[in-house]
Amino acid sequence: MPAIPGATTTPAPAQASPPATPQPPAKPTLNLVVLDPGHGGTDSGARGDNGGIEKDIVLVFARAAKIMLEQQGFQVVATRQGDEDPSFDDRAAIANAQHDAVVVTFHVATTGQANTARTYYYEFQSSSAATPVAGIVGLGPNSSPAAASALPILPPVAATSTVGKLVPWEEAQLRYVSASRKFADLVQAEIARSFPGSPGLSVAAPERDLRSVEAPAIAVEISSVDSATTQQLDAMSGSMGAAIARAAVAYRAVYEPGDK
Amino acid sequence: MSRNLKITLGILVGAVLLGLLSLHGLHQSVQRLAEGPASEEQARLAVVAPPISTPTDVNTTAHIFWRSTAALDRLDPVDISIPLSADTAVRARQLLHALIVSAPTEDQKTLPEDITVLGFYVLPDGTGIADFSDGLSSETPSGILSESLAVTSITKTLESNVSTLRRLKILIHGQEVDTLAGHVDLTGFFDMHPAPGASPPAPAASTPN
Repeated sequence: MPAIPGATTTPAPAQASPPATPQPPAKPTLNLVVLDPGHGGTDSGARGDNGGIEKDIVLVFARAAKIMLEQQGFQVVATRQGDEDPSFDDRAAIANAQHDAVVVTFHVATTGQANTARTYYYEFQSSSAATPVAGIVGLGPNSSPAAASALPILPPVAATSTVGKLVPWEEAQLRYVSASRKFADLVQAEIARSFPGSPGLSVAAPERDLRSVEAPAIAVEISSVDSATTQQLDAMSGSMGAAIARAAVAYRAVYEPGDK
Repeated sequence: MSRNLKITLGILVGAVLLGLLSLHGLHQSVQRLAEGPASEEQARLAVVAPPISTPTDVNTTAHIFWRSTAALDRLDPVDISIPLSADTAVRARQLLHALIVSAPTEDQKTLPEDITVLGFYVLPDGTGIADFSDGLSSETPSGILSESLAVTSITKTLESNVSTLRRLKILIHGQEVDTLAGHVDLTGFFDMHPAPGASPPAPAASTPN
């Protein structure tokens, strides 16, 4: 169509240019690490021959990890800062209140080769259930087999029973086992590089701290409270923190929210 | 030398000899006391955990899982010959007793030696309930590795020698406890002989066994 002199030009009709496509929302990314120093308060954890106390040693490891993680741009939340003893549920509640986070709980073993460490992720048993044991609680040491047989038989509850959005508190970790293992393997690989003698892969274990955490969660157990001085264990903390920070950076690259 | 002096000297010499003899006896008593706790413990164990036997006992080669001699963070089966009952619950108790007291070496133990199995019950669905004395919680070395090895040695030993058990619940002194010694979760059941087709919800890549 020829242009009419003096006429006001109008914008081209909409079909002449491609419609503006809405930008997809930014993909959530891992930006927060919850550090959980095990034990605390009246629960001292393991005690070493050289005076080391697990609850104090893990606090040193957590503080070192916090510094290294923050240097890598992570926010860090700790389940305890001092000599407190939050319950397993309290710790899980702190972790579950965060978004796009991973959880690292620290322990010190009474066994194992000194200056090594192992990483664990939670292992659910196929026949385990959230509350299957009520029927046998209270079975006394002098109870007769007949009494035990008389207890209600509780059907095994499928561990995959997390239906819809309701997640049983005791099975919160179930959706994240695969993600936790992925993260645990990355951490263990870094640990094996920094602490020769450590295994190359993480290990599955029913570590109680992790069960109710609704996020990728791992436990790091350092060896050993018996065979090393407190100073030696403290000296490990910097390298351990750096190893965890490197693994967290690597995990951030493959992190999927709600990773299953 | 006067007679009285001789008598006095004689008494003194006698007293010294008596003192030396007493000292020797005292030394032996102290040595016995030092060795006491172990023997006393054994005596107590003999009372609370008498040998378990039934008329159906047959000497059988059992596969007991203790720490590997090659790597103490792993378990290996060791074959030993022990009398085992045809009754499932008694058989399980006999196996757990052997697991506790018959480790080939000190380093291979997975459970404290002075704990006892207070009871073992079998439910019709194949659930075994093992009730241990308090020592399982208080004397097992604290830690994820040591506690995992303790539990896995129990489940693997039972699984290898008692074919009818499907899962295991561990109690301590008749009560459910949160953890074994602060780390390993005892609130659930441990799988044994999972039913065909049943797959665990999460792959267990490398359990310590």
